[in-house]
This record gives sequence, structure tokens and C-alpha cells, in this order.
Amino acid sequence: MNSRCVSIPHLNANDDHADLTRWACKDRAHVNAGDVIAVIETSKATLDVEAPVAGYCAHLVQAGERISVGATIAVLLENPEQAVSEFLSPSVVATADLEPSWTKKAEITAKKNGVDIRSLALALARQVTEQDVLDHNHAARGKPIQFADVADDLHPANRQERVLLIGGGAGGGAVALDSIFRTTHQRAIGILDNNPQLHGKTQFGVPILGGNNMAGELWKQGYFDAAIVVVTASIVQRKALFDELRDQGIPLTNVIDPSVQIRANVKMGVGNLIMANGFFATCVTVGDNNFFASHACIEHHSTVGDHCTFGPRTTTSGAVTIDDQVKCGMGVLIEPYLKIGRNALIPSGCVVTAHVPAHSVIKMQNIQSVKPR
Amino acid sequence: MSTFLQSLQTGLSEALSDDERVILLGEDIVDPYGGAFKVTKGLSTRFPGRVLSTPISEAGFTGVAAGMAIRGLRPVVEVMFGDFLTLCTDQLVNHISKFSLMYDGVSVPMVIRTAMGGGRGYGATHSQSLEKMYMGIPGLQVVAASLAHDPAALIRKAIDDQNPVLFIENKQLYPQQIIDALDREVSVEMRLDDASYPVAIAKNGSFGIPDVTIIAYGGASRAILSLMRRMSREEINIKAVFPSLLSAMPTTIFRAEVDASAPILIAEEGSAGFNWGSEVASTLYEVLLPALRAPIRRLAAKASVIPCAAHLEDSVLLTEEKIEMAVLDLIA
Amino acid sequence: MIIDLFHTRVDDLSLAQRRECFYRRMLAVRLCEERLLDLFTQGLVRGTVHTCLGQEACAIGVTSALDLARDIVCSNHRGHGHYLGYSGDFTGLIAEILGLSQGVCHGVGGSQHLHLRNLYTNGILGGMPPIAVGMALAEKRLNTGAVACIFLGDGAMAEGSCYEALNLAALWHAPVLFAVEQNQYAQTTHWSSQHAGSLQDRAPAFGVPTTVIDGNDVEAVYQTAGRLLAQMRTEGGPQMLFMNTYRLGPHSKGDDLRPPEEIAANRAVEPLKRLEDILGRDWCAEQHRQIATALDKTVNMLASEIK
Repeated sequence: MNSRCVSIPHLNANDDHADLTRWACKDRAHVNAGDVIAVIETSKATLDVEAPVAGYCAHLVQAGERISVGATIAVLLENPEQAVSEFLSPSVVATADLEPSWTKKAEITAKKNGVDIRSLALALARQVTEQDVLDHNHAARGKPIQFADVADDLHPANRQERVLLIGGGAGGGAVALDSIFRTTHQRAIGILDNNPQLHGKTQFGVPILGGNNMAGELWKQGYFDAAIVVVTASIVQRKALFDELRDQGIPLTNVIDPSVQIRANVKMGVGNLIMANGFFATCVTVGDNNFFASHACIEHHSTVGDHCTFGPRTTTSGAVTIDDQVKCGMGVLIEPYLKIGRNALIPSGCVVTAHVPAHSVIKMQNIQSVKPR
Repeated sequence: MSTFLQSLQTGLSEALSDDERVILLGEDIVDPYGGAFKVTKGLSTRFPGRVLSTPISEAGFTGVAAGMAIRGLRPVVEVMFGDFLTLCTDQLVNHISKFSLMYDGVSVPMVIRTAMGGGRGYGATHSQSLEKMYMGIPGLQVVAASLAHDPAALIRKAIDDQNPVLFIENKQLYPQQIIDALDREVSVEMRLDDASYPVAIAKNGSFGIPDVTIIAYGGASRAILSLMRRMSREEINIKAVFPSLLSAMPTTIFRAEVDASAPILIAEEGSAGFNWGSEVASTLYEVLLPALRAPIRRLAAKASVIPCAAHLEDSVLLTEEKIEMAVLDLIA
Repeated sequence: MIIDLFHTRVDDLSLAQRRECFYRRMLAVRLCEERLLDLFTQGLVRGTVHTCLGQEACAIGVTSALDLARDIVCSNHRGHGHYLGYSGDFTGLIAEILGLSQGVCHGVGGSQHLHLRNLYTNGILGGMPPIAVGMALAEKRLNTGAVACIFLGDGAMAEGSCYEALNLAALWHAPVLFAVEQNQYAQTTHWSSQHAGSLQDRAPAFGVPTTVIDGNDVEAVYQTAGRLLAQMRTEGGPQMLFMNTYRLGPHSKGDDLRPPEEIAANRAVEPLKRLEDILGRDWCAEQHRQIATALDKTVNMLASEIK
């Protein structure tokens, strides 16, 4: 700043700007050193601004403007035709933006959309706005999507299997839904349950549509692709529901939690409900309509029939054969090569060491007594 | 185009002129000094006998003013620095706020005005924003003027209030221009809350849903309005909500003016924790959940003493820079 | 019947008649305080009560000298005597302490927070003196001719706000009577353990003239208070009336840990006893009977609303 520039002085602790009340001389008129060239007003007082040297007083601001303390309001030129810029430091002269610049909003939007804002700014040669970024983003992606192209509920190749849960307003339904939510190829479309108090309600957002006997009607309407029986306690009920669905020509599907490991050369029927962390080793065969609770471990070359239910952590060793409608409790361990006959019942915690004939129950004594510690 | 200080001076002058019951008390408030922050300058000359200079007895003269108010005058007490309010606290908490709640037909129409806030290097006991300690005392109203309000109208409303008002001013606001209707960068609309105290809604552009909503009061308005001006050039749309009555939540106005889909920032000058922002955030959660998209962000001064040196003071206090960083972070 | 006793103007009475009137008034206060302690023992009073047993002459002497139509009375936690002397409203006070809706503050205030007309009490020691000064200043400005009377004790005179009030009263020439009841104890602490120097010499240092009297002589209290109030009304400015007395009961409700000989010695010179010697035992007993009957009727009626 040289002595020919006149700026607003710092006048008091309170004010950081002043108003230019009026000019006391015309633009580029000649003044002598000490002449009053302008009158300014702060919150406290009105002051005269004097010319520091003689010269032609070029106005940089207009009367009535509010000016920051320290800003230059006039330049005393050596002759009336001189350019003001000769006396002002480059930062004072308004220059075109030589540096690429953009608004903060544009920067944030660019970051969100992966746009290189610097190149955009250089290309535009002006300050980049948010709209510039959005327009650029839009243009870069080419033709906008035609939504109708992807709205296709009927195309079989990339549509999820719509699964109807039968007998499922309670615990069985909950675990089945939990697993279906985690698969990518299936979608739970509805639940049927014989408890009329549940009709019209939802479980995990999936509607409970009516009694189990609605299945046929819904199938005729094309409402679903396949069914799964989610009753888990009663084998008799499971079988009855399964048979009824079969009789109506309704296809059944398997619901297998994605955490289950199915190894090489496993054969599996339909209507099986297999919960988390199960392990089906190589060369295992599983029939239809079985329910395996979590952590089932069926070792290699074992066979499971139809309509069985297994509590959590049922474990077989290799080459075990389990016939139809067998019920196992929790944590049952079956030694290799054994045969478990049809309709057998094995209680929790049992270690099976011999063949179990059909229609038999293993009575196990597990002596416990509860005392205060 | 007036400053916060000029507006207050006008308000007090008009109050003294219009209502002969109004009487001012405080330390060093008579002319020629006219008060530590000059708010009462000229008044003792123009209204002789109506402006009393007191000894340094905050408890004493606050109690005296309470007695005057109960018996029919309208005293306006100046406590020089907000930090000194602690000396009047027994009168405020156990007497002034309680009499109308306990005694039929008794009211205490008085105003206690005081200057809070740091940023001038006055140090730990002359820079605080202690108003949070006086919020939530049943029967005591706490009111703060911001640059988006009309301080003259607000102080007059407080003086006319039949119930006691703790009126919070701010040292750094005094020389600032209050927003006028011709401001091109920031527009302000007024709403009235359930107690008829004004809530100022400021916007730095014309938009529907803002990029961020800032809720603040009083002294914080300086940094926020300055930020809003700069951010309007950066295309960042900010809506600021400045209540004036702090001791009751303007729930109806929050519901109408705060958009749940935009991030919300509460900024206050007092220390962090157990403060006005806690109450505002709770209220907003009650009013706006489940539509809120993110937790409400709160900014305040550090819970520490306020140092004297400028850079140390800035690290503790709420600054425009810190508000800007929070805004940009919320939008990103 | 009791209320009428308190509405009599005593200025017009002869000394003998006034003596009788004062005795009856003090007796009514004494019996009321005893009934309240009794109700407390029966479990009918919520919170606590601070009785003025032994200090009745201060309350009756001063309130009888006030212009009750317009003067202001400010008091503290031990304000029953001041309230009764000011209003004669035994029903309102007892009902208030029993928490009934017909209490003077509808049960909101209880024993320590009372208000009626121009009387205000509050439970924070040292809180009311500055307020009383402000009230007096307002009355002066509004030209009502009213003065303020603030009752405080030796205990409260340890609070700084009392001295701020004295200073402001003298500085601004406020018509306030500081009526100090030096009852010698602040809760369980003797005043000499709380105060260095002299209590009665403090106010003059602030420019507030102090008159020291025997607070157990009701006629002396009445005459002195009257004189000071008259002076205040003509000359303006504050006065202190320093009344030496003794608190016969415990601080609130509880054990009195003071030496029994000390209490007995003070009981011998307490205000009622002093007048009994002049008025005669039989006459006093008859007043006792009459007033107790009237009081018990009120107390039983109110207490039955609780049971």
C-alpha cells in the first residue's frame, strides 16, 4: 500500500467497518494534501477523511456503501487519466479467477458422486457450482435409465422365488423368515396359520394371510412359487401339511440358511427347513420335509429319510441311516454305521451306540439334583 | 441500521419514558460513565432519580429490586458481568422465582440484565456464559436477544412481563449491526412461541429444505450469521432458528420449522454438558423421531476455564471456524 | 373471639388495659405454638415448625405498634408470632401448617412460607432483609406513607446479605425497621460461638441507629417500636430495634440440648411470667382457660379434617 492510497482507519475497539456518508470531491478531481475528500460515519462519530498528498482523487467506492476498516476507498492519481491499478496491490484489483475455484457445496457433491472437480473447474474456466457438478454427473453416465426396462416381476431368470410359509405364525415361522431374509434367491411372500387371531397381522413385515387351507386358492392365483412347512414340533402335523400340499400339486422348496455348508455330492429332496451353521458332509442324502435346527452335523455317507425333526446340535458320525419320521432332541450323538428306525424318538443328550429299532424310544437316565450353591 | 447496543439503549429509554414505574439499578450505570458496556449511557441525565448507582452488593440490590417489584415498581437491575450472577443466586432461586408461585396476588415484575460471553481476553471469571445454570428454575424466565431479533422490543417485552426475566446480553454483540429488512444475504422471519416471545428464523437464501439447520441463541448468532453469509456464496443453504425465550422449549415452532430430513446442529456459547442444547436435543427427538436421519450434533465451549490469551481462548470457546467445520462435516 | 382480641387498637387503651390486652395476645400465641408442637407429636404436621416460645413480647410489642392497614412486615422461618400479631388469623395459620386448603397459603407454603396482605415470610435467613429495604423504598417512591418492618435474629446476622441490606437502607434512606430478636441461639449454637465483637454495635457502623431494649418487656417493646416508627414516618431512614430475649423452646421439633438450668433461669423472666406477677395468678389462669378453650375448638376442628 503506498501513500497515494486512502483507506478507512481503525478508529475504535467497537467498529470494524464504517459507512461512506458522502464524497467531498468529484471523481478524479484535483485535491491538495489535507483537503477533505470524504466523510465517513462509525457507530460513535462522523469523521472527515483527508487527502494524504495532492493528486486526482479516484473514487473506488460509492457514497452510502459500508466499508471494512482497512479497505481502500480512493487513490490519488498523478494525472486524471491514469489507471487505478498501477497503485493498487494485485490482491486489491479485481481479477478474473485464474485459480480453478468451486463452491464448497459443489466440492461436497463432487466427492459424493466421484466427480473430479478440479478438471471440471479448469474446463469451465469459472467457479464451479453444485448444478455444474450434477449436470456433469448426469452427462457422464450417458442415457438416463428407462425404469420400465427393469420393472419385471415375471421374468424367471432373475426373479426371487416367492415362498409361502405354511403353519408359521410362531417360532418356526420366525426362524424360517430369518433365513429367507438372508438368502438372495428367495423372498417370503406370505404366511398361513390356523390361528385366526393372527390373520391380517404381519411377522417381520410379512403378512399372515389366512388359514393353512388357503394354500390351494393362493396357488391358483399364482400368488407364490413354492411352499415350505414351518411347523417344527409335531412330525404328524408336518407330514399332514406336506402331503396335502403335494396332493394339490403345490411345489415345495427347501429353505436353507446361507451359513449351512452343503458339501460335494449331497442329494437333497424338497420341503427341508435347515437352520444356521448346519454341516452336510460329502455324499450325504436327505429326503423331503425334514426340519434341522441349528448346528446340525450330518457326517459323510449318512442318509436321512422324510418328515424327521432334529433339535439343535444333532450330530451323526459317518454312514448313519435315519429312517422316516424320526425325532431327535438336542445334542444327540449317533455313532457311525448305526441305523435309526422309522418313528424312533431319541431324547436330548443321548449318545446312541446301538441300532434303534423302529417305533422305539430310548429311555435315558440323566440323574441330576439341584441344590443351593 | 442500528447496533445491538443502540437498540438496547433505545428500548430502555422508551421504557423509562413510557412507564414511570420503571427504575434502573446497577453498578456504575450513571452518567458520564453510563455503565461498563454503555448500555445505560445518557439515561441518568435524561431521567433524574430513575437510575440508581449501587454499591458492589449483588445480593443486596437484587433483593432490593425484588422488594420494589413486589410493591408495584418495575425495576431493571444490571449485573455488570454475567459471571457475577452467582452472587444474586439466592435471591433469584429462593425468592424472586418463588413468590408468585407461593403467594396469591403477589408477582415480581423485574428484569435482571447482564452481559455474558468471552472473546475479549477478560479471563476465567469475566468471560463465562452462565445462563445455563439459571434455566429450569421454575418461575424464572431466561431471555436472550440475538442479532436476528429487535433488542429494543425484546427488552421492553421483558420489562412489561408480569413475571421475572433474566435478560442475557453478550459483550461481543454490542457493537454488531442487528439484521435489518434490507439485508440481501440473510432474510429473517419472526414467529411467536407459546409465551409470545419471538423466535427468529433466518435463512441465507431462498430454499425449502436446508442443507443444515442450526439452532442457537444470543451471542452465538454473531458467528452463525457471519458463517451464513459466507456459506451462501458456497451454495450451502443454512436455516438458523434463534429462540429468544430460552427457559421454555418452543415445541410448536420446532415442529413447524425444523425439517427432520436435514442434519441439525445446536451451537451454544456456554460450556458443554447439562446445557440448553441438551434440552433442545431432547425436545427435538421427541418431536421429530422417527423421521430424523442422524443424531443431532451439539457444539458448545469446552468444559474448562476460559483462558486469557487469544489463541488459548479460541481453543476453548465456540468459534465461527468450529461451527463451519461441523456444518461441512454434517453435509458431507 | 381470639381475632377480636387482635383487632383492638391498643393506642387508646390505658396502661393497665393495654397490659391485659398484651398478656392475652401473648398467651394466645404461646398456647397456639404449644398446640402446634402437640399436633406434631400426634403426627399431623408435615415438615417442621419453628416456635417462638419465649419471644412473644417481641412479636406482639412490635406488631401492636405498626399501622397494620398499610405497613409491611417481613419475617422468617420463626414467624408464627409475627403472623398472628399482624393478622390474628389463628385458623389460617394452623390450617396452613396442617396442609389444609383453607390454610392462608392453601397448604403450599407451610410454616415457613406465609403471606397475607402486606406480610411476607420466607425460609432463607438473610434473604428477606434486602427485599424489605426494596419494599420500603417502593412505598417511599409511591408516597403511600407505609414503612417496612423486617424481623431477623442473631443467627441471620451472620449472613452477609444483612449487612448489604443495612448499608443500602442507610445509603438510600429507606424507612425500614430492623427488628432484631436476639434470642441467643442459632439452631443449637450459642451466639457467642458465631459472632465476634458486638452484635448491637454493628448497625450504627452502617449508619443505622440502634436502640437496645429488654425484649421480654412487652410494654417497653411497644413504646420503643412506636417511637422509632413515628420517627421513621417523619424523618425517614432506617432504624434498628435490638431486642434481647431468649428462645424457650428447641430450634424446631426435637431435643433441646441446652443446659436445663439455663432454660429454667430464663423461664423465670420470660414475658408472660413478668406480667403474671403484676396481673395476678387467678386472672391469668382464667385467661388461660378461656383462650385455651377457644383455641382447642379451632385446633380440634381443623385436625379432624386430617384424620
